[in-house]
Amino acid sequence: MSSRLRAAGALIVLALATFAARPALADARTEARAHFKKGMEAISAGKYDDGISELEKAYEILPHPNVLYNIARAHAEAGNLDKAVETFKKYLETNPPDRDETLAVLKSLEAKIRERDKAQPEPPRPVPDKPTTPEKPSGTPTTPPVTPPPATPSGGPAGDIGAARTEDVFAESIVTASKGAQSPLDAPSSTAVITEQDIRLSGITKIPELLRRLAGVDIMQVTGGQTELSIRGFNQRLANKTLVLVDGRSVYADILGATIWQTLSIGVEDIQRIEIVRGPGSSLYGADAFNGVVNIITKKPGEGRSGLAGAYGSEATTHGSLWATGREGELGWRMAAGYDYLPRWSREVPNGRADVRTGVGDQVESSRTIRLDARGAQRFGKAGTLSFGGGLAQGSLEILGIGTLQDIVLPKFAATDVTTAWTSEHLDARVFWNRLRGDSSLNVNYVGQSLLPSRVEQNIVDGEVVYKGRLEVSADFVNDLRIGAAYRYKDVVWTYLDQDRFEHHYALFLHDELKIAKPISLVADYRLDWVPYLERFQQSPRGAVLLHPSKQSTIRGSVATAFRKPTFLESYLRLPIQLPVAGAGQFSEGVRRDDPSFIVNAERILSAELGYLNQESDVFTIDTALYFNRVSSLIELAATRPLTVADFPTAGTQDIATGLFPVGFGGWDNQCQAYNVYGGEASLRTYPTEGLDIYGNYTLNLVQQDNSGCTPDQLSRIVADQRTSRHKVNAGVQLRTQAGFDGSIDFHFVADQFWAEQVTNFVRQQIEQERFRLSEYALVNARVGYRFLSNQADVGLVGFNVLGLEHRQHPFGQLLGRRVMLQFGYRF
Amino acid sequence: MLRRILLFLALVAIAVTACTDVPIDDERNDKRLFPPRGVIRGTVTYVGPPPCSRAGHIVGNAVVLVFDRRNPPPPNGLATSAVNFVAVPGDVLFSNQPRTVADELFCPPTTSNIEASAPFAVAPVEPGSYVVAAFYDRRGRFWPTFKFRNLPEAGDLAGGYIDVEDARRNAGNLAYQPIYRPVDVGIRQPAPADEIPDFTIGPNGYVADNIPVSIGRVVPFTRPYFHPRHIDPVTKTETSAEEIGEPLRSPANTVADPLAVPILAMTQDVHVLAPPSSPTPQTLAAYQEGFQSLKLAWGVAKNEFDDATDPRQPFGFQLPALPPNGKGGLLVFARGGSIPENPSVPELWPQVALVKLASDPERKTDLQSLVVQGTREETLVTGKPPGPIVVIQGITLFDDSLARTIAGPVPAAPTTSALRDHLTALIRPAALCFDPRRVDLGGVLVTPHLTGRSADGSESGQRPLFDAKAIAAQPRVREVRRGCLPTGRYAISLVYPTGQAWTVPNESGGCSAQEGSVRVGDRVGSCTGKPRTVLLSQGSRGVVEIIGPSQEGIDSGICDDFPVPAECQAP
Repeated sequence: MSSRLRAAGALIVLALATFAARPALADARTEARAHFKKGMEAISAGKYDDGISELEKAYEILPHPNVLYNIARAHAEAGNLDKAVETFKKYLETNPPDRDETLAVLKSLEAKIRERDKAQPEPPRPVPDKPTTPEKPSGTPTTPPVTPPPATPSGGPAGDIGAARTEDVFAESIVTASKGAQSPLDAPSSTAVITEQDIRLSGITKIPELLRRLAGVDIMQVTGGQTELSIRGFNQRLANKTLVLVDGRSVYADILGATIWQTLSIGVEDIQRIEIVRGPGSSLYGADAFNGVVNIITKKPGEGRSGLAGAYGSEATTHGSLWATGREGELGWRMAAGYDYLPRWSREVPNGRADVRTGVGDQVESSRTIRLDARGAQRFGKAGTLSFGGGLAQGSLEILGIGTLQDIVLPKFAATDVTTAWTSEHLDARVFWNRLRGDSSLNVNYVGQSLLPSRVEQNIVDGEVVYKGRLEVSADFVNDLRIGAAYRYKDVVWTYLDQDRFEHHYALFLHDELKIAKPISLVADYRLDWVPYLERFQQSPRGAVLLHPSKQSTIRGSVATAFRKPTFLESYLRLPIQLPVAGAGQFSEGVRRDDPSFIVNAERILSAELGYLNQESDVFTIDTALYFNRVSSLIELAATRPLTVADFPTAGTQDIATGLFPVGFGGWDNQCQAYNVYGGEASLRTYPTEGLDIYGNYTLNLVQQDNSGCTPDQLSRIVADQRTSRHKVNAGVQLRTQAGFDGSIDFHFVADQFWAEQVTNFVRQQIEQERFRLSEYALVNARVGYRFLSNQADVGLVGFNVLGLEHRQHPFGQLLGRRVMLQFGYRF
Repeated sequence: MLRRILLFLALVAIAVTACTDVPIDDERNDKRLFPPRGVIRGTVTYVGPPPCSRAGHIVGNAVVLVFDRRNPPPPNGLATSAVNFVAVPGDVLFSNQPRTVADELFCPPTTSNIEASAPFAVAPVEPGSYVVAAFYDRRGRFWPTFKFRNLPEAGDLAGGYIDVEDARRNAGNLAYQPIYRPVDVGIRQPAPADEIPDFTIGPNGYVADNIPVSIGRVVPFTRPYFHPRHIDPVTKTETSAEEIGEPLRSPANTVADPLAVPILAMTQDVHVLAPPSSPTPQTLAAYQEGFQSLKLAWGVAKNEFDDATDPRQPFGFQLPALPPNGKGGLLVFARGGSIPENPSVPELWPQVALVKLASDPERKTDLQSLVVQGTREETLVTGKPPGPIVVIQGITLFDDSLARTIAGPVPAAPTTSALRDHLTALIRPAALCFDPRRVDLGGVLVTPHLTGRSADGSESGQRPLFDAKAIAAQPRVREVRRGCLPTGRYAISLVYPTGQAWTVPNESGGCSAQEGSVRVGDRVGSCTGKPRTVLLSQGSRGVVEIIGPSQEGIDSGICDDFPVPAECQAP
């Protein structure tokens, strides 16, 4: 294996050596930002031609309306009135919020042109070879620009043409850490962003795989279609400690507590960026944002270009996406469709077995999904924007769960959402309806043993209102306040539950950022959640102090708590589980018939973090964090409680449906052990030359298990858990060349782990922990691609685990090998 | 252009060559692989009276029990539980049968029979040869977990995969033991003709299909409920399980748990007399007195009767309110054959067997004395692999007398005349030790003495304790060997020819770890953690403990000379 690791390192070095000296394009955002800065400086210095040229480069790399505005304004100042008018018109096509003001400017400029034309006759118009102004991002045909005659600056007052948009439009911005746009430098938590460029160059088509490159993020492929995500440890099958949002809409499956990625109606091509907040997020997002939040920001309706993309490769792995976007006046729209087929990494049973039966016939397919997504946004001038839309994802999926549900298949599922949101300067409101329906069964069981068929329907209606207020006493004393209220209705009908269940959740939250001096900000959050199952309020405070030693660097100290409420499965489960003795069952129950007053408590985390972020340089970014987490009350399968004679009158009822006799009772319980986690993350991203983007990060995670709360009996059933690797390294290179070749190489190393997994001891008839070692593994993913037809088309070859280092990412997970896909894409 | 085409073709070629099959992963460590196993599948057919119903559901289940043919259940074997079982609910078996929606149990008249059938499957099953027994639990009383509810009762219907013709021919025989047909799971391996062969299962598993299981024979009587007593032959004092006295330490009860003081402690070198050559009432009485004995009284202790039969209590013992004919409910009748000591002494039903329990001298893990040595559960108690199954067979007496047993007349069938309110069983100082995996091969009969003085004082010298011919006729005895008896606690079981059995101690007589400890009351006991009644007469005092050799006799060193054979020793 070490030779293969060396080979991976050599590949990276080779890539660096091969491409470093060649003319290329840099990280898009950084490069656009650099051009923008240069351009604005030149314009300020009166070097309009240079300035406009730089701005046009910036716009070409990453189109932004403000850049167009500044180009137009510079033309006006330079006296290129015709070009100014033309560019202002393009700016207006983006439907900006200052449409009326811009129209006034435009009229004024057109009047000046008329005056000028009256003063001197128009010279003959030469026909240019090609446009000198950039195309608008949507690809709408543009009128051939006019090359005006040389003219002297109008010398008109700047007020006539509006103020320059000097804000750093290409600065990295995130919205997830504080429920509002802000620089990562101002965020009270450790954050990271996966950009559209990261996504495209990686060639990855599984959304969670995109996050593998980040420090502090644990990604675990369990089956071909199941990838689990956790932040700063505590990953598991059906991972339930990270809240995943799509444009702020929670896609957390309350039935299981997991994120089922296949139920998302979007593909990687629909993603504008992914924001990751590391550390507890309950103070803003309530339950389940236990160790972090992932917010997938999709491309806005009306922005970007239409296109299609596809990929096909190993074991018929297939990915296809088709999308169209457009704008009609104030209304922007985007529609997308997609298809994914993911084979299993390994089969559970061979064909021809007489003694078993399977839940689905095909033991090769892991997931097959069809996606449809349609979104729109209607702008109402300055009043605000109404967003609306819906999505559908349906298909099949194999999941490795826990306990007796350790290998289940959903031969049919359908997930839909209907979402509407209102955003304005002071008020944001959002309502959505998530629905998940599906059939499931065990993947395989012996003939005569139940496949535990089930039908599930989950309906979630979620609403949230946030008031945003800003008090600016001076430039150095600013207070930003957000106060919100949230409501979530959950309705679950599921064969595995004791009865149809619904819950009403309410919450109030507050977020306040106080900038008391230029280098110092204070952030305080508090959220109060009513959790019906627990019949009590859960409090989630967070506090942070931000020090800015320089304009582009931050030292951040924060303390936060979070909780994860018991899921529906953990709260209301009632599942007779057939034992190897076919007529006997262990009845796994949330509402215990032998102890009806018992409830499972919420999982808790207390976190303290010290972070340092430096974005001072144009060629590198440094992000580091040290943290301590105290994690307690984790929910696990309960120890088996044998049926006793005393239980008999109340609990000794044979299950009529299955004929099983309960011989013991299971369910859920809170772990007696707690965990003190000491960790750190260090990330460096650098852009040493144009077209080359190199990143590297290291994650340390030391877990100290605290068994002081355990009884001797409990101690006899538990073992030490070190499921999070102590050391994790990610490194990679992205390249884009002007010749059209581009690609990336990502290297990941995860140190060995020791998983304390619960297994059933059928002799003892009890659930016990068993320690499984998971060997360290290295993973190299790569993509090489070629762009052609003026960058409208591209082909690529993508490899997952290109070195073919077979490994598991969970002790029970499937054996991962190499997979290769051929990709293509076309943008209209 | 050519360059682009070549590039494209190269990419396609690489992608195509990457396509491979999805492999089988057989190295995973989560036991999710479902190794090849056996399945027994067939149809259970019921012929009998219409079933009872309650609240819209048919009451009861067709219980299909799978036993290893090498160790079938009593009386033909020693299996204390089935290797696997499945219950076909009455609602499934009688899916078209009318039923009451009332909450009260309704049982239609039993004057006419109906027929119903349903498929069943039992899996996973290890490769081997099996017998399949079955019964329909007409009152819904069956519960697999507890010894006091895990066997058929009077009124249930019994059957299995049996010789149906033979059963039909013996329709009127109340003591009939059906002939079970073997069900082979797997591929037969070579074996001697008189042995049950080994079987193996191939990579695709094995299904023993179309196994017809018939249920149709009404079980005529209840299980042999009893509570044990010991009458000291010298002092005539009676010791019973329900009388909890002073703490008393013993090798099998090193913590002096008063609830575990045995009703009878017997030295492992106990001397018995040899049977008299010329049996007379006097010599037979002398011969009988040479044995330790147990008095097994019908039902439960008098003050426990209401709790034992109360339908609101979990026990639900099927004890008639008044013993028929005032004679109790134990059926004592002829079994055929004779005891191995003397061909003139007939063997009787119920069979008395003392079965060695797992060793738990500190009373930590098997508080209720339920775990039998030689079973899988023994490991949970001892932390060691299962030891041999050790059984001490008792001699069932008719009307407490060996002379009466010989003289008779002993009822030939389990009729009303066979009912008794108690029986006396002589405890033979000889144990049969079986390999739990090969009970079919017979056991080693170990006894500390092969000879003894005759019960007839006029006969001198040492005489054989066992009749050689009678021993040779015992199918379960593979070999007789002189040696001491395995020490420890032995549960007491009574077995009828129908397979119905009753064992003390059982769960009704003590509290599990989850229920707390036993609180001894005036009338009955109770559990401290989860309150419920404890029937102390069924408790952990109801055992025979084999202790070390007497320190005073001339045989104090006998166990040095004739130690417990290896076949009888627990690991």
